[in-house]
Amino acid sequence: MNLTLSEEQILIKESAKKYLESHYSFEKRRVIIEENPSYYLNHWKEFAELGWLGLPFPEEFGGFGDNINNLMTLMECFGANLTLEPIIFNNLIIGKVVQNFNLNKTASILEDIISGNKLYSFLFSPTDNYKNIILDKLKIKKNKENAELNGSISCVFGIERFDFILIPVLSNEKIFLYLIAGNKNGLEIKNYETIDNMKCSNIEFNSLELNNNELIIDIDKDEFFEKFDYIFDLATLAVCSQALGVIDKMYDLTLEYCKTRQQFGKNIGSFQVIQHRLVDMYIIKEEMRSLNYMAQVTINDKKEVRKKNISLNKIFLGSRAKAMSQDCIQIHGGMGVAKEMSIGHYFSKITALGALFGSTDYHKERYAGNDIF
Amino acid sequence: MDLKFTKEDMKFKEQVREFIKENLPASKQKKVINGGSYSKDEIIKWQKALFANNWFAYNWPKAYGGCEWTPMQKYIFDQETAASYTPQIIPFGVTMVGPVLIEYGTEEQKKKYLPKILSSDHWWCQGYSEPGSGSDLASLKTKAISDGDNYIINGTKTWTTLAQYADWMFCLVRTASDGKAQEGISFILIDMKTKGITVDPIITLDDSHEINTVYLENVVVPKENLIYEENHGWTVAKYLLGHERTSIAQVARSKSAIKKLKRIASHETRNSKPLIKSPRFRDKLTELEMDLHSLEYTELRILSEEVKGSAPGPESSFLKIRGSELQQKISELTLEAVGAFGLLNANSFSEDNSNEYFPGPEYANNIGPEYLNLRKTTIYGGSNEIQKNILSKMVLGL
Repeated sequence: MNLTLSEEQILIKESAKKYLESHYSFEKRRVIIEENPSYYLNHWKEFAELGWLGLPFPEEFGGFGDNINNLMTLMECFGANLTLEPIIFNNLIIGKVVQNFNLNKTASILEDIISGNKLYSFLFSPTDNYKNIILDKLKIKKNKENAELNGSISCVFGIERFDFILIPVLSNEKIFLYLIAGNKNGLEIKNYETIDNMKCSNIEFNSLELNNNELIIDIDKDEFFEKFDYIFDLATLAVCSQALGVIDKMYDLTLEYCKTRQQFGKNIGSFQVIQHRLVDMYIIKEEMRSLNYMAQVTINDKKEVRKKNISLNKIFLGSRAKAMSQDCIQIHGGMGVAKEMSIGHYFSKITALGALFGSTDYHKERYAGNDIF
Repeated sequence: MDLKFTKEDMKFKEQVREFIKENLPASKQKKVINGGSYSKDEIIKWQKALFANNWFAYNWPKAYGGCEWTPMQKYIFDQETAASYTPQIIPFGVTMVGPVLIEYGTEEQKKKYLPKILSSDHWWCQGYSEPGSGSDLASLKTKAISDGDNYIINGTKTWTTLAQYADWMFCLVRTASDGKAQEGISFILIDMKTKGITVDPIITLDDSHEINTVYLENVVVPKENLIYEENHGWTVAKYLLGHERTSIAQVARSKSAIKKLKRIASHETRNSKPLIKSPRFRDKLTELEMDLHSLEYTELRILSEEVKGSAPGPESSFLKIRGSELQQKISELTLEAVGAFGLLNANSFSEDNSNEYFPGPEYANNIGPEYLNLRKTTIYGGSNEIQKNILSKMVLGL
């Protein structure tokens, strides 16, 4: 048994920390958001050079060993620094879809993804209803040579800019995956900013013409979701790992604040009521790490184990970690709600992460083994 | 014990409904129901309409232009206005400094300030907290030095709500530094146009501008602006805090928010079924209802005591604690109900916080930002930790 970080993970953690501390300090992040409207892929090329875009992919495609745990370590660092690049969407999900569905173009697409040369996205909305959205929201009308696509999907991440987007669409109980270029006619995208400064989009297809050469694969509906569930789980764990980095940082910031903020002539950390709350926070952040490692070591176990362990992580994020994040703001008092302090940005981030990839209730139902809702 | 409404009460309820219908444009109301907010002008217009109807200063004596509502009338007014999402009365003038002036002001001060408070021609703000003095308010450092007929005031006030609109600020300043911290504090009124005052915005987590830092640099304030005696401002401040805390429970607004949440949950679906049918969700909704009713009946009990003639005591801290927690819990469950749509930052796609360009269902507009914003409720008006200190000392005798 070994529940400590591997040597590889330690190396990733150290190099990520070093890079992010110099490129993603709170002040630099603020400048990026305020001064660069297309900030969301600011560091993408550098991520590729650092090897980060290849972490979860096999070496045969130019990746770094198909090791999900390495990516989780990186995600934790991303959480600690509130990194803005949507690596879960433009790297992990699309890359894993391409890898696991064995597309005839897998090798070349993965090479592009890992090198950061081209930007790929997968059309997917990370909500409780993600399956229904894939099944219901898009309507395809097939002709002999081509097909016509209509419909719209909201709350899609990682599509503010892309070179290609992979679209899953239902027809005759099969899922068809089309790969289209970002500049096609009939494609309308509106972008919004979320409370944690990520970009979220509304995508609309108005009689968009799909050519048969854009069809990459068709696959039985159930088989598609069986495979996609695994990818959904990886992404959910990535979100929870990111949240672990956020919670660790919120704990550090709050502890530090209690050691320096003076009221009634003393550091507020000298009051017992505050001390006990800080101890609770300490316990919560360690429990959260334990659950995270549990999910990491069982990621390749049989499906039931993997799903349950990842659900426990998401439930913890939406309950204990959420309550702790609220208490961190409370202890900061007015400073906690002012945007000039970093603590509130971490609070916004944990709030957003909690709402994506299945709500707490969704995962409670999933854990209990019943139908969802 | 009974819960009967008298004939007069029922008539009053109809009058309030009628008033709302006449004075609140339905289109604006709809925007606010869906997460928008009222502008300064809209708030003032509403307050002026209330005043014209003699309904503005509910807690002032009639002799000063108040309406001396019975607690039941106040309750009905709050219920009806909250249910209709009307503008909320800005408390700093009419609810807070007004009663202070009536209790402690000289005749001249009353004559000078009360009419403009009633007519909403003066917008007031509250200069209490400082960067180093939040929960420990008595440690405040803003200094007023006597200079003939004036004070020269230097210091920094912060979290000053809506100071960007304010004509006047009631302010706690230090006029003596020996003895107990509370003993050297004075309560003074400052004209915001005075030279040396700078108002700097503080942007909050929801990207809105509600609060400010107010810098006071050699601000000359006439001594006639002092309320009550020099060095006895703490007495005045304590009197005022009691008034702030009763209005802070926001029971009626929480009731409306739960109603909205139910509406959302019957539209939202999970796995093709209405969210409101989910047992997990219903459990949480039921707990909110329980919290709401226990809070509402606590407030009504306190109101009943008031009818019998007792002044609001430290129990108002209890209302503040539970009322603020309830507001937060409702916003939390509402965010859960709308899911990812709640994460969109309204300020990123519309200048006026309208929902014109919102991509999701109208009711989801501004839900996430509101969750972030409402963290303030357990912090402002004396943090809940301070309210618990008050209760343990004043009620439990610890």
